[in-house]
Amino acid sequence: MAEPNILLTRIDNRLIHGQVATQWNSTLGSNLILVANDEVATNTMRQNLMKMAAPTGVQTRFFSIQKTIDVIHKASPAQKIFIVLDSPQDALKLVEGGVPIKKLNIGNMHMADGKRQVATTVAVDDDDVECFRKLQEHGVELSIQRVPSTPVEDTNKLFA
Amino acid sequence: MVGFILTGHGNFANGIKSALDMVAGDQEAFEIVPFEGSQAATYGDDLRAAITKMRGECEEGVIVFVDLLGGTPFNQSMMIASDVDKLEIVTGSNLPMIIELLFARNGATDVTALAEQAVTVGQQAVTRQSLASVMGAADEDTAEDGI
Repeated sequence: MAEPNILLTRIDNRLIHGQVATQWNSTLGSNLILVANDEVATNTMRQNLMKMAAPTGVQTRFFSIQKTIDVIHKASPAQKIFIVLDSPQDALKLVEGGVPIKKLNIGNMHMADGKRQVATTVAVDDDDVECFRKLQEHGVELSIQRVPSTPVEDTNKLFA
Repeated sequence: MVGFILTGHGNFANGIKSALDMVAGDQEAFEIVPFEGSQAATYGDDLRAAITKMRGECEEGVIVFVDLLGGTPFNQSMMIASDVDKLEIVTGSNLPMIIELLFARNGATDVTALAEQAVTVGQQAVTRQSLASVMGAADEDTAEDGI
């Protein structure tokens, strides 16, 4: 079976919101936004709110991490997929589960207790950094960028 | 490219610009001209200077997004339009309108059509939503082919 057409995968605490719906999706030209998140997969209110944000003509899916791993290879070649996640831990689970993620955009990772701010909108802890290191070992290309028109920030900031 | 000028009372233009920066990042050919009490005396001249400069850089034309039909930013813009060609004035400007127009202007050459599109988008963006519309079971999107 052909490999799924994953245009980009993004880590963003807020999943589908203004930046993702109005900027990233238009720039990428994706027609399917796949939110892979265990909590949202069972929360219809959050799903409905994100459906409202999605641009007209763009489909949405709200799959658990395991379901994403199970079904991603059944994607049609016509499905131009933009995967949205809320953590590097979930990204690593997908990659280790065989989801062919090549490019990982790091967007918003909010500050929290035990995290340190390493880029304009990115805060990490040691486990996050370890996940990013493993993702790189799997050949995933990382980039830190808030929206397509803002500069790409140095990925080395994650490991400093 | 069609240039954009955003102007309005108080911090209207600064506020919309700040929201745009967060959602869409910095934009080229986009200037704000706030109308604030302390600069009221020079506002007309400031607006004319900004519009004239933008028009000089944007041969396809310029759209001025103003806050309020009939307010001073609108009145001043209309007077400037009497001697600047390819200048469109849109009133009741809102964030969704401008976000969409920033995409729509790529490759667009008809400033009038673009201004008409701004009105359509801006009007469609004003909606009422109730909790009922988000509480029900989500309609499952499905594809005939694929996931």
